[in-house]
Amino acid sequence: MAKQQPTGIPIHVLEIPTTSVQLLVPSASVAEVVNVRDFTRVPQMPKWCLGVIAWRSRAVPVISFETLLGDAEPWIGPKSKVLIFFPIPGRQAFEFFGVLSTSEPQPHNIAMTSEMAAKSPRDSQYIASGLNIRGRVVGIPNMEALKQAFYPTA
Amino acid sequence: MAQHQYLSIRIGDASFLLHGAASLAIEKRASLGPKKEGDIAVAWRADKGGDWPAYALDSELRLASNGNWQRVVFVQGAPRPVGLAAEEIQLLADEEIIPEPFTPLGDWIPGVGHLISSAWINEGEINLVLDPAKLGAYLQMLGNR
Repeated sequence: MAKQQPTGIPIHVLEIPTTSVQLLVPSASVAEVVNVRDFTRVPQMPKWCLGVIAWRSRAVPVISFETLLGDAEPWIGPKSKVLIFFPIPGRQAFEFFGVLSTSEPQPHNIAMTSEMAAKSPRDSQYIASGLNIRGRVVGIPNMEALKQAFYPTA
Repeated sequence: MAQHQYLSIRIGDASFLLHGAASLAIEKRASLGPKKEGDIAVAWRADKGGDWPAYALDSELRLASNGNWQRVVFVQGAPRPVGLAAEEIQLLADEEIIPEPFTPLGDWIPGVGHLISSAWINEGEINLVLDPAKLGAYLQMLGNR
């Protein structure tokens, strides 16, 4: 069988390790990767929100994808990181948010092929689809579903 | 009160900022009328237009039955001002506080919205700022339950 040729231009992505699922996002959607620091609680915040951290004079809420998927709260270790995401399209310019990862995210440069398509690694509205990256199935976050969870009345 | 003067309000193990201009009055516990039988307000401020109720909240800003509150800050409510009881209320007179807008994640309080609307970062420490209009509406809503 002929090998599937890449389509489109290569894109830079980050593979985000969590204890539930490996996530894959465009590198351009991430503003910075920072060390975990103390979380400040926000009253009545949902369970999947770990709190807020100070970042560039702003308070940035940090979420646990594990808890969002209904899994146990992640253990935060010395290698844990927070990925600061740019605001979801359509939201306010100051609405950065963070996602906890168990370690440093891994950068990849990938060119999409049809054979990379894979079943979503989790049956969840927060995972849009799966992608096969070098033998591993990673999940693509569903940003529209995240937006609805983050800002439900908007 | 200067434009950037804020009150620091301590409730349990949490602290919040409130713009000084939102404060209609700050009263000590001893100067307020006591809790009325069967009412959820923990104290009352006498006023010729009708007594102003004060409510005690916990650090999650949920109604608390009582607590170690010592002072109450009253904010605008409808039809009358309402008070938030706190362990400590301090005027941060010497600080240059310029909060940045902030949107909490998750559900709003129905009919009110998020009580936190901004945050001030001071040397890496996060100070959450209460929205005075929403705080007033929330306390009023609690009193109407």
